Amino acid sequence: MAAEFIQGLLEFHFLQNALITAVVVGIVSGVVGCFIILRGMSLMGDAISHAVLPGVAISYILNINFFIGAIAFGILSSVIITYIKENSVIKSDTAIGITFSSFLALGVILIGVARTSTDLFHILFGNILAVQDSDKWMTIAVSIFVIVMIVLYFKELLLTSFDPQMAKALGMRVNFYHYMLMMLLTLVAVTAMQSVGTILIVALLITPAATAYLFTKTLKKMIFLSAAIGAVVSVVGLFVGYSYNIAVGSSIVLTAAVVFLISFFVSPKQRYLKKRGHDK
Amino acid sequence: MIECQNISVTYNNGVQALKKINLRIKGPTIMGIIGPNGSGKSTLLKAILGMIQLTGEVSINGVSSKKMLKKVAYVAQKTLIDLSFPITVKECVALGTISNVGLFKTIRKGEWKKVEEALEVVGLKEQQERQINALSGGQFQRVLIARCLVQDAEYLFLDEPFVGVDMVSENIIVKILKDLKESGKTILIVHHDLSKVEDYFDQLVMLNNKMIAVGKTSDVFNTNNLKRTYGEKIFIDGGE
Repeated sequence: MAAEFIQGLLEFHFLQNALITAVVVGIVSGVVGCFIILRGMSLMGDAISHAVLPGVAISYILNINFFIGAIAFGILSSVIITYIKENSVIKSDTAIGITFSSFLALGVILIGVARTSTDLFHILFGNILAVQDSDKWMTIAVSIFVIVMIVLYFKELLLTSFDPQMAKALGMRVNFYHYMLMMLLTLVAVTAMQSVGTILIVALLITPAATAYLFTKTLKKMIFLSAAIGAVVSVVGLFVGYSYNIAVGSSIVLTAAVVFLISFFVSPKQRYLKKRGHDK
Repeated sequence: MIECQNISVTYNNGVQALKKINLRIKGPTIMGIIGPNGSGKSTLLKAILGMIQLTGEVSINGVSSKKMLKKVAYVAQKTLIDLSFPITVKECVALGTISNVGLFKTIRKGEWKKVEEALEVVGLKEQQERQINALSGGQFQRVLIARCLVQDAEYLFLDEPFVGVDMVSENIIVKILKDLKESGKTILIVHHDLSKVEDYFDQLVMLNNKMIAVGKTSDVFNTNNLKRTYGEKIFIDGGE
């Protein structure tokens, strides 16, 4: 089966595109995902990945690059959630639930109205085997931009994630870094739309990062490990999906989940097996 | 010198945390800020640092406090810091150098040397490679003090530094703070344990949303002011 997959990779351009795109998306999701889980923003990541949908639809209607619409709606949803949280008695998970479901519903309607050739099913669940050269290069370019931004602002992102009070006391614009991260998250959400789809993006963002968290004691190591896990599960997921003719996006997500599950039991940080041993 | 003129803070929910506070802090000194829960102690530190909206004027060395933030090292309450964050003791202390390192630049060798020296002072050099979640509450507070040391700030603002801290760490921290005062620093500490007030602080602010008393600890720390700060039911040394 592996030989068939490799043979397919050598023969078919669409499979090469799929592999490269999956690996790149896996890496960049793993990197951004670390900040998402450490800031306790997993739900926010889910919300933004859903909220880009109307932006994508409007971009199709206006015939502009879909990154523009997606970023606008991603940031808009983040602003709405933050505004509701800070200016009312409503808790953030409630604000997130209301916002993302509304944006998703709006997106589904707009895609219907747009009557594009774009298949809603592919946006929601991804279709990595249909990735074109232009999509692949766009994914690579956006991913490089996201990673460069994180490298450049690493220590600021580290401090605002770890001790935002100290960051504020130093006069750092904590909100600026929050919204910068939201913008990067939106970019990742749009690039990952093709591999795993809008519905499952959050899994690629948080599962490799959560797995890496179980094994590392510094943020840098966590980011490298998370990126590596993201890349590996993407390749394995693509292989399984292609070989068994099942949805590749879902295969990637389930592969990541299996890796997390195994890590949960064996990680020295979690000490699950050790604790169980003590209980007996 | 730190000067607060008529500062008031009202939160979004309408609660007025500080009412027309006037305060002049001339260092070097160790000043305690005491008062009941919700009396605005932490708010006062944040107000001086410009972290929250306020009315009135705050200046540090005669200049608006927002322009003098490099002069202040601030340690928030431990409960506000995520102790499970993947960061080692050494990296946590190194964050104190961040305002001296430019944007897009990494921490230089000289700064790492400062980090090692600070860890030596707080007695945690051996622990520098450990993740912070492996430390006790007292050890972690010493790490935060080490972070202040590398900031080399003129003013230190510490919010409840002795909460959840064992006696060994508390004694180490108090000694470091007294040494820092001797070297010319001014230290403001939000504190709640009244039994240590006379031992730890040269000066005292007694707060209950408004200023109750301020001055030398020996002058203001008395039953009358305690009653005005905490209400009638306060007891000290077994007496009311």
